[in-house]
Amino acid sequence: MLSVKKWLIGIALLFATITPIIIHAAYITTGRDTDVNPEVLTEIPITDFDASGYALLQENSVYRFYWQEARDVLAIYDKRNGYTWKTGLDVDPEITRTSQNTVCRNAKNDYNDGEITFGEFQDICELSVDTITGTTTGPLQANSLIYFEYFSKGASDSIWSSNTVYSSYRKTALYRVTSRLLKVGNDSNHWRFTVSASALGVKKDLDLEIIADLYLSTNGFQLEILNENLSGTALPFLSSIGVANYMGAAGGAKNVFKAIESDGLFEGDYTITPFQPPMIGGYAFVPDGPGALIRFRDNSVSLSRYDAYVYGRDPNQNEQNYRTTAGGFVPFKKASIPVYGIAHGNNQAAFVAYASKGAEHMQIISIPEENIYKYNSTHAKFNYNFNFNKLYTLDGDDPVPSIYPDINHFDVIMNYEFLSGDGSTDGYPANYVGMAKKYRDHLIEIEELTEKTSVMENIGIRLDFLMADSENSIVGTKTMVATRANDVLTILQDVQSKGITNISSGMLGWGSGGLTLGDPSKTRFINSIGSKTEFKRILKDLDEMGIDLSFYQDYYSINDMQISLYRNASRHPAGWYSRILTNNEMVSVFYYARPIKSVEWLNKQATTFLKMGAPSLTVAGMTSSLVTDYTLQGTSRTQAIELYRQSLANLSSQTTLNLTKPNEFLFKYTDRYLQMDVFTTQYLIQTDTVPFLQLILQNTMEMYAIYANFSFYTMHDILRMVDYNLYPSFILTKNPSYVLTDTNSSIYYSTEYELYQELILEIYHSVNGALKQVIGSEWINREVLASGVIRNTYANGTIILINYGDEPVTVNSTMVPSESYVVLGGN
Amino acid sequence: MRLFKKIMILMMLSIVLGMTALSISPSLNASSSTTYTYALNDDYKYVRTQDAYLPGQTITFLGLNKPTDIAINTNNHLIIADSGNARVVVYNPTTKTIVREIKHAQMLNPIGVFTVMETSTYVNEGDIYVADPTSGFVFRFDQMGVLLEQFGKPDSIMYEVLAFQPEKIAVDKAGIMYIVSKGSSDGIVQLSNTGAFLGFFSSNKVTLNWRQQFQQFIYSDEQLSNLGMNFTPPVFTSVFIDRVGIVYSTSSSQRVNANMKKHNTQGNNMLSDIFLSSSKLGDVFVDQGGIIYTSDQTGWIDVYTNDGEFIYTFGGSYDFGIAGIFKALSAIAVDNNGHIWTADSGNSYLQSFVPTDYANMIYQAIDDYNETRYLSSIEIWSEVLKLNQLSILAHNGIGKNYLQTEQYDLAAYHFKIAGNRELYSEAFWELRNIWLQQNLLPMIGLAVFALIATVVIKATDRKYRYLTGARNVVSKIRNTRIIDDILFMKKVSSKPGDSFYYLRKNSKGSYLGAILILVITFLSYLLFVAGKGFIFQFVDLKDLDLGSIILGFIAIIGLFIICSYLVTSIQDGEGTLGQIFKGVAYSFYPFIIASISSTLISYVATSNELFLLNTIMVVGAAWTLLLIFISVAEIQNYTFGETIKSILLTFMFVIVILLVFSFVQMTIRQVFVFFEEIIKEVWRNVIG
Repeated sequence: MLSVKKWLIGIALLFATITPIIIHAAYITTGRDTDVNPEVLTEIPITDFDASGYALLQENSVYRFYWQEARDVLAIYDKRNGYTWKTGLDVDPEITRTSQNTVCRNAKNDYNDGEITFGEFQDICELSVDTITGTTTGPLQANSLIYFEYFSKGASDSIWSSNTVYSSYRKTALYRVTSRLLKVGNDSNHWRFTVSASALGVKKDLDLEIIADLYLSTNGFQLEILNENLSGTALPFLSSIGVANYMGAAGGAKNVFKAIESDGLFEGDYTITPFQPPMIGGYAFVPDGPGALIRFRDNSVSLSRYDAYVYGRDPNQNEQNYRTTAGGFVPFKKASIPVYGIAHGNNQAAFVAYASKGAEHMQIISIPEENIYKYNSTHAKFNYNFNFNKLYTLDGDDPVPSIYPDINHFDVIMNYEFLSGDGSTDGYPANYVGMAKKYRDHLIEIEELTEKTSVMENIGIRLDFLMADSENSIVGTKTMVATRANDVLTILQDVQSKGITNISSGMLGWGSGGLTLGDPSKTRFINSIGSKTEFKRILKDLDEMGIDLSFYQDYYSINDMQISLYRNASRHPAGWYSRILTNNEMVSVFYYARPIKSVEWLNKQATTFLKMGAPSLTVAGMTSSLVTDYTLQGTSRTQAIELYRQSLANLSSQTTLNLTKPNEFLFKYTDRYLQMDVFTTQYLIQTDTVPFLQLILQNTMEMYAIYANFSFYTMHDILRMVDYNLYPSFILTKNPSYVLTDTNSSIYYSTEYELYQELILEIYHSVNGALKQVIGSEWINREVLASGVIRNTYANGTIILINYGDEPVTVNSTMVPSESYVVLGGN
Repeated sequence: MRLFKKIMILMMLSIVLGMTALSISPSLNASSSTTYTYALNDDYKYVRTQDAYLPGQTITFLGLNKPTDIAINTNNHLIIADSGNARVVVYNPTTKTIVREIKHAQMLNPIGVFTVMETSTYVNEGDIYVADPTSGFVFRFDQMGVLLEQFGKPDSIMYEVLAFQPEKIAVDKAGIMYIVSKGSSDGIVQLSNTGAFLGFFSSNKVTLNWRQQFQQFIYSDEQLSNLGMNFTPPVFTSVFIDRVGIVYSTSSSQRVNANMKKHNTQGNNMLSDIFLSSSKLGDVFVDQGGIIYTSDQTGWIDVYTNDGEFIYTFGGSYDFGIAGIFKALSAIAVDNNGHIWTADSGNSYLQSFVPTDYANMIYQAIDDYNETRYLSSIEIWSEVLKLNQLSILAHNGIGKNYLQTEQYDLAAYHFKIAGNRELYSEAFWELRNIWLQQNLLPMIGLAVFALIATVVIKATDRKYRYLTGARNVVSKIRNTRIIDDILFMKKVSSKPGDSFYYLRKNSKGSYLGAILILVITFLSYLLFVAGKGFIFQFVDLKDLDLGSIILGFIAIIGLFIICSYLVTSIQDGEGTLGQIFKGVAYSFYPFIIASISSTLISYVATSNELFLLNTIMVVGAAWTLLLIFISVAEIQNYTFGETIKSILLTFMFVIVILLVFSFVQMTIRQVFVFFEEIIKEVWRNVIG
């Protein structure tokens, strides 16, 4: 038997023998080494292009991909439905109304001179010319696969203008661009699109090169722009890169040229008739709040575009000044998911486009017909740099327009996946439901979402409590208490005794200073609301009753009466703490916490709460907002996401997380989604509201609607909850709301539990009656059978028919009363 | 009140100007509303309330081009002045179809429309009147769009030099036309049904502040013109006639509370001193229930009761292209279902708003109150209160009903929450009256009993001396030096001549006593400022700046004493600084008594007795000032004339010192700010 020593020597020898192999495998080359050969890039043989300028790039079982070299258009032929999608309009920029008019005039003269026949005259002259070619940039914009915007310094150092360069080039453009598509490594699935622009800027001395990799597959195609693949002297000035901005565009207007034969009396001639073809049926889907559809329409006026920053506007990148003023209107709904889509026809052809990298800098833009051109178009662009007003003076006067010295560094991966038919073959109908299912499956595949097998018998209810807030006093401030800790226990016991068992609850303003002045970096309890011991006891009592009570905290919005701004508030590149001025009282100016601090405070408070026995954590602010911090050791949006994810991943492994309006990057850690929107921002161009977000998240987490107290308590609203798969939530106080009249919480103007007892039961039981049937079952389809009549289908066979209308309707012999719902089938 | 209105206007401006899509406060609205509904709080500031209206139909497909006015006929069809397309569109919002397009060769720019709701001898139901400033005509069409008449510039000598550019029109049952003519500051033009000029129905007035009045008085016309001063009355922006024939008008002027008028038959305004938020009202509409709706050019829609009481406002202006936030709100109308219809001439679309249950309940409660159905009104207001416990309107509404049903305690309770001192005073007066009626006899009995008891006790005490012990205790306390020193101020107020002499000779009073008197003075003043009964307590405790009050009190008295000493020193005065200090302090007794008694009385007095409180305070203050005057005279041994001169010089000196202090303070502050900012800047840029 070998001794231990010999064994060790043997192992050491073996390790020494194989180590060179391992080292060789992990060898990292430097400039002093010779690296492996570069990838082989192959041009498309000229013979591959057909008469219309297209060459086949790749064909698989589902698609054929073609490339139009002159106009930078990728065409995708879907074999399933015979539909062809193009990344651009594919119009000839050289054929304009003017040029065709010249052609026709010459041909007319030739015809009248007898040099050509009428048939030849027709062949030469008769053409429909797209009106978009009437401008220099119109056809370039419509064709190009990629465009980029850059800042150009004007005559004065302080004036910056934004210029756009399209990958498709035209001689009349002010810049020079070359673009080409090459096959990578002899792999017909992988192509490299390179755009090289020169003569940029006022002095025409800047250049920029963008390399985009195209991956073609049976899912569709993927477009990848790596940060390392951007180069050139214009790079610091790069504002944004837009991708496939006319893919799926609908509309357009033509000038129709028609030849007229001579009849002996009159000479031959031609006419030019403006013609606007009927708009095709279809829509664009944009992730505004729960989701909005923008149907293709001929507008009579120029309406504003939908323009949303994914994960919300960044106060330090998207606002030019360090200081902004809140409007008197309802805040715009955020785009919390980096996805959009376009459907042509009804259950015929559609695509869904989403970013799997670079979402934090993504902007989704939908431009209505008549806004500039006669097309409805929707696309994504990615923001690299921005302009802002830099402050140099002590009083903040005379700001100087500037751009940031460095761009955002991130990779972009956009995926375009195509849907065909009614989904009977693959489960993905070519509509917004199919888009949602496709995106949901993607998130499940990359483990950002996990389907839950719920064991709940009844739906949940969220009952939050507004404990206290501060108001000005004759000396300093005074904490006004609306609910004491013990009141929470009493009220929740009362609710449970009335038959609602699945309750989760959060306490707002639980500590010293209340909701507005409570320091998020500390856990200071005060006796007038509840001591730490009292809260511990209540948490224990409620836990024994099966009720989940947690402490609510906003870790994003802070004010200078609450916490020192130094080292805590994020800075605008202007140099000052960014802030928003509101009309609220008593605190009207709010700042944005640095992401690194948000995480620090969350971790610190969470430790205390969990030690106290809190069964879950309720987190707000940082979950729905994203800010770049320009403090010396700053934090980018990308880094902020990583910070948030790490922190919440850690907490998620320890406890249940209730997150308020979380962005997509936090879905993985969300157990309860709070304050879910059911309406869009309502841009005039938006025609429909759809539960796209709910379709994605259903059965992966509990989803709670926004508080029913505030204009969300009617039968119509209850039906909306049933339709959108949302559980009800309320915010309550023990005392009448008017004790908070002079606090920032005066916006919670109706909260007294005594007034809401009946409504809580009524709404809960109404919603529970429908949704308890589908707990744990996937929502597989949503159809609009008639105006205001919805049919939601679930995997367990349950069908919920919802009638929003004033009249009863009959669906397949089932009568659905007015403003009511009917549950069919299921368990 | 005016100050509050100014604050309101500033708030409105701040809302409208410089907006951002960023949000920091939680978005509570789960409804489809895109804007918040604001009501007023007791400080006349906007506070959020439940949504009153939700966006309904957004109509962008009619091909409108700058729609400027909307009328609604009895069929609930919208009659739209599509000025950019030189047509009037009759639109059925139920079927979403255009019923009719009305065009006429001479109709070039239809800006205003009005439709007749009821047939009379002179007009027919459905008649459409169109005001066209470009052609200078008013067109009358029948409901089928056939031109019946057109009216041009009136052929009247009175109108000879005036331009006739009709922009808005309303017509009464007699066919009399009320026309707002473009740029006309003379008033609303009144034409008969034949087009004859009847005169100006109503005109706006120019209101000048004192500075403008002074400038107008001393400057020539040319100078005034150079200053850009405009003394022409504000122009009317719209006119409307409701179903009972009352004429309403709107104007655009800085005199905000006169921008909406409800006219009597003589043209006078029946709404006086009402809260109006906008200086740019553009249109007005009154529904069947008498509820008044106005729109302003900054995109806000305000709703008022038939008495002009502000209910709420919603809307906003910005070119976001979002339903309910207007680029240019040009017109407002309300259909038979209570839906508000608006036209946006900037984005050329129509937007409807559907009333919520909350709004409908409020209208019903107002209607019930007007129709004396008080119990029903109370019930509805109670439901409204459930939806918004902070609603001043609801508390006022419910309080008014309780006042009518003689439940004064409940009325007072609600008026107190609403901060409605006037009506609270009314309710309190009734409560006090009832209490007096119930308790007058027992009180008189108690007083008589107390009187008899006092007499009896005095009489028996003389014989049995059983109060000697108590008297000794009281006497001992009174003879304590400091108590005696403080109580000497009573003597000062009744016999100032002798008392100030004793003070001067140090035989009475002390410095400690004087300091304590000043402390008592301050506390009694603070009690008066912050502790009065609700009816008279106009300032909230939270709004008081205690530091400033203390500093102000000390500064005023201290400065007076020091300045008086300095002035008297050079005027051969005989008093020392200490003597002046004591003299001033001991003069405050009447003021202390007045403050405390006014405060106490304020708890039992109503608004009617305001004069009593004022009188007490004026007498107390005047008496104290008189004592101070006498103290100066006695302590310095001045004649009357010398005293007057000394006090005037003292006040001048106080003013000079205050000015010097303020300059010094400003300079020091600037220096501090300078160094503070340098340190901050270094901190920011170097340390981070």
